[in-house]
Amino acid sequence: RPKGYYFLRVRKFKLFMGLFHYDDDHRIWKDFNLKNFWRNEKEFLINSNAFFSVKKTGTTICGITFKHGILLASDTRATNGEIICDTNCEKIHFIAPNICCCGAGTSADTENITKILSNQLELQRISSGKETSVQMAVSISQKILFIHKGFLSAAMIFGGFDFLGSNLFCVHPHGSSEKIPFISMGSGSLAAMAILENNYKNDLGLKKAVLIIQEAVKAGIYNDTGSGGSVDLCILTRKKIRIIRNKIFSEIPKFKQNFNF
Amino acid sequence: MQKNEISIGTTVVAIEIQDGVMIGTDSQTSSGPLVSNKISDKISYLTRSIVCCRSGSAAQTQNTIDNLRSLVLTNLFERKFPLKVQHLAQIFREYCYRENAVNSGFICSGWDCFHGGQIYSITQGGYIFNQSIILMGSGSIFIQGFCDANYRLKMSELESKNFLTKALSLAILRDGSSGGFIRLAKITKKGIERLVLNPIKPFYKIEVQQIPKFILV
Repeated sequence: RPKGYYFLRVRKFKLFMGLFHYDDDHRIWKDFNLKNFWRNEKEFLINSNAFFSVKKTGTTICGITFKHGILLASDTRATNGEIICDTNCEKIHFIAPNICCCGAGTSADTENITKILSNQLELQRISSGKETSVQMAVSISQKILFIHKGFLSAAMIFGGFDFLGSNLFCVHPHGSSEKIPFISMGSGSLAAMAILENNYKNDLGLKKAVLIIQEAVKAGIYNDTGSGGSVDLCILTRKKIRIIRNKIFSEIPKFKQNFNF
Repeated sequence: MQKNEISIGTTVVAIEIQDGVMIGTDSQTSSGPLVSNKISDKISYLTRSIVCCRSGSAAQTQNTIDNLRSLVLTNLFERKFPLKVQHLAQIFREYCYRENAVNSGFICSGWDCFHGGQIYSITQGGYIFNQSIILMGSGSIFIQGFCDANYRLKMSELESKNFLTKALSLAILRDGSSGGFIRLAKITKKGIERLVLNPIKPFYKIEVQQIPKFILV
């Protein structure tokens, strides 16, 4: 056989697998380019803290059950180390027509997990024809988080109304879940938990529950540097869900400020 | 365990009684110095008459129990007869040894028609042993002496309930990572019955010294 035969076969197989890329400068097909390996090693040794700067959301998120369903609330600040990159970001994600989720931790992780979840559950709904239960969403996210051994720092609160009634679950980054009547998570969880413990009762009405959860998130905003901005709210009942964006709106600083010196 | 992972530092006591098995646990899970859930349920069901108590890392124990439930179901479908407790404990042990379940301890207990009530403990790494009383968890060291002194074989239901509440109250009193209230489970021929109790408060007598009427300077 000709000498170049095996190279051709290997090259076609690798193309098929997507392992080759076309180098525009040299106009040839190239394999892996590993020249940044040494740069990464040096950077990591010099300054390991500032190596990966991820967009982290130090947050306050709360969930509470009341008579007719579930309330979820969150603050709206996204931080990147010490800088605030977004004063009005959305932490309440939509997963199914009867399930909503709040996410704390690294925002990339929470957003991607919720996207994967909502797509998978939509396909299951189409094939089975029934509405999803909250336990199913929780179990799938638990599996994803456990497989990654806690490196996906995503703490989430799932709330929804399904055929079993109203359910509130919390999922921790290592992959453990719990079913509880009220919970707060994130960096401002201690302050919010204090307010919830003080005021929570069984069978609250809607107005009282909204007041309590607003106070809890406000406490998190005031007493924690990682939380701030406005308060988002989500009401989940049997008939519908209602996401209220910026229930308590805090002013965004204007770009132009007229100074008179 | 990694930093700030949810852990079930706990107290679990399982004893054999006349008709079956009785188990008591506390209800607190912690993450480092914080309490993450004070109403947690550490007793999870495997079949209609076999139950498992978890301690160690919450995520790992929940994951192993999910995988085990599917194994149990396949077993039941094949044989069409209720599982023996011994068989289930062996499945547990094989799984823990193969998957190297670090930081997880289990107590697998139940009732079956061949040998009555049985308790098996599966420790870290996959060592299995069988006894009529088993203590597990961080708070169990405080009540080892109490249980050795007061346990008798084949107690009745009422005596065992008193014994368990006293033992768990003592452990909750002295251990920082156990708390909340007491959950009891009784497994007999009829099935699983659950109870929730408050721990007994400390029972020392506190004598107040009387302030004397005259204070001599």
